[in-house]
Amino acid sequence: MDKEILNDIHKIYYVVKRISEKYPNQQIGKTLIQKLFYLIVEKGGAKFDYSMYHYGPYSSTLGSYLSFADNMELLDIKWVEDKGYHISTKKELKQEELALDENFINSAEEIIRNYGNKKAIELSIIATGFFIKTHFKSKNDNDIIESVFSLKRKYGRDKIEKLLKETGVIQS
Amino acid sequence: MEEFYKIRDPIYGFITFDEWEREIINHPVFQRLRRIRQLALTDMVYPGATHTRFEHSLGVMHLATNMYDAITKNDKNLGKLEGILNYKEIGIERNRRLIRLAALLHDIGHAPFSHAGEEIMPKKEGDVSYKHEDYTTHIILNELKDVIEDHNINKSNYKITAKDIVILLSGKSDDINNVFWFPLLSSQLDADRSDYLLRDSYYAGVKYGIYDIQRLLATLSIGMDAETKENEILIVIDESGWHVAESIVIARYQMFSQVYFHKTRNAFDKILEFALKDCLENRTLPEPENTQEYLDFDDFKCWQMFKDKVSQSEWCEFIVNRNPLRVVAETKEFYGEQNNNFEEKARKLENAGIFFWKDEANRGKDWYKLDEEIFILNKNDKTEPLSEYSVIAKNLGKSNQKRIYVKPEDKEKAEKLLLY
Repeated sequence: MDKEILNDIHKIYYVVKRISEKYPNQQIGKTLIQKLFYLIVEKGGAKFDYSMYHYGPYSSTLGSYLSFADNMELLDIKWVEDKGYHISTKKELKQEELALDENFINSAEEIIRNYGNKKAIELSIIATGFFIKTHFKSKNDNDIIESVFSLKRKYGRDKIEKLLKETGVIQS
Repeated sequence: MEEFYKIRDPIYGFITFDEWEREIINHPVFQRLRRIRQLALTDMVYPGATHTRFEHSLGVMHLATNMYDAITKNDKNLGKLEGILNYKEIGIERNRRLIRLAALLHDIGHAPFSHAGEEIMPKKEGDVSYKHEDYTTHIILNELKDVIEDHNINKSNYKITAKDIVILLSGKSDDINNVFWFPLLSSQLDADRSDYLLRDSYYAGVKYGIYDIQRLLATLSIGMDAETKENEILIVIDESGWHVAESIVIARYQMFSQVYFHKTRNAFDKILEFALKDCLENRTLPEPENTQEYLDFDDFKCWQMFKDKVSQSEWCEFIVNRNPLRVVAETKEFYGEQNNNFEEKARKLENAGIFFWKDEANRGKDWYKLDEEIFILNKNDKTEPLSEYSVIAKNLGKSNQKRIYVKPEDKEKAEKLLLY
């Protein structure tokens, strides 16, 4: 396997491992990983190409690498009825085996610390807000709220605004 | 009265389009797709596989339309879309037209020999190279802008812009109306993959990619995502159609192992990379900004370059005289790392100074993505992955097969070396 791809798979492994250590009760699903990695990409800690689906930023490459990690038995990906995927580490890899660069580790740690215990829907809203802020620089805070609301209508406008403020996507 | 045209298609019977779409299809930039083979040099193995991006693009337009119609003509789906997304524009003709155009033009930026040509695209930044999608964006926004925007059918009805199409194809938008149908063009159930499985099977003369397309269309539906507590929508297959979902997964796997990862086909992809580099100035294609220069490249032009260089480049000679790289070592489709001496073989060849190329099924950069799950809508209106229904989908792993190739003239020497 290409070294860069293996390195990206190790990054995914690292994030799953660190969340499960830090927040043992957190459901680590595919949505959570997708959105956390979007935030890590925004920080410059990883390079995955994201597109905007109606359910927020999504990287099909990251989706493929998650499956690779499952096939390689680095991760265990299980489905739980009504709840979704539960991802956990399967093999024990040491820090030196992962060979991750400091920039990634610092970015990942910061993102995990700030967002690792959020629910999947909350992360989806936060990542969508950041995606709009980054790609549509002319948008003001109100535009960002409206755009996220148009995509996540069921969650409610007020709750979206509160969450975006709390997490620094828009000014409080 | 609006006039409609029909083209005979071996997969769907007839593909219908109107005057506006006809003008786009007749544009020289779209006609260029007739000169770009869908599967590069796969005809070196399957002589029938000479189909092009032209008919695939028409097929994707046709199938994406049928998928859109199948979803939006179902009242239950409409209810979900309108209720949850407040998606008032659902079902209106403009979205349908926008999807048709995006599907029609989704491959307009392909290099000669399709994905094989992608290996010689110039660097974008650092180590990251341009992709055919970057060229697609430039071509739609520049070369096709007028023919898209200025037609009377568009001006009087839809007001679709070239930018609208690029946004739908790239998914870079903050507006739900622009991105909602993106999964019809890029997802585990998109019209692109659904078309190429059927079309590649037909032209290669194999039956591996065939599935029940009518059943797929009849069971396409809308479901809610479990992980986000039903806040987000997914395009799914109704439970009654889970067997068609399973057959798509099997079709993808079989097409991968029998066609896309065929040893000789892959050998020619690698040879193409070297041959094209030998023929091109700077060993790379022009950047997307040099659109006209880029569009001049098609399979025909490259074949002429190979013929012209046949005495100077062994890679060109390999193509012109069908002389592929030879496999001297390979693993099974699924193997355990501990049970093979594959890397040792590669080291032996390296030490002996023999040129070799290592290929692997699990390389991760492939366009035929086998990994994403298809979701099923169960009787309680909940979504579950197909692997919860299908033992085959649950257990069908991804091949990790590896192969070592050498040049034809080194085959005997390499085989002897690897015997001991």
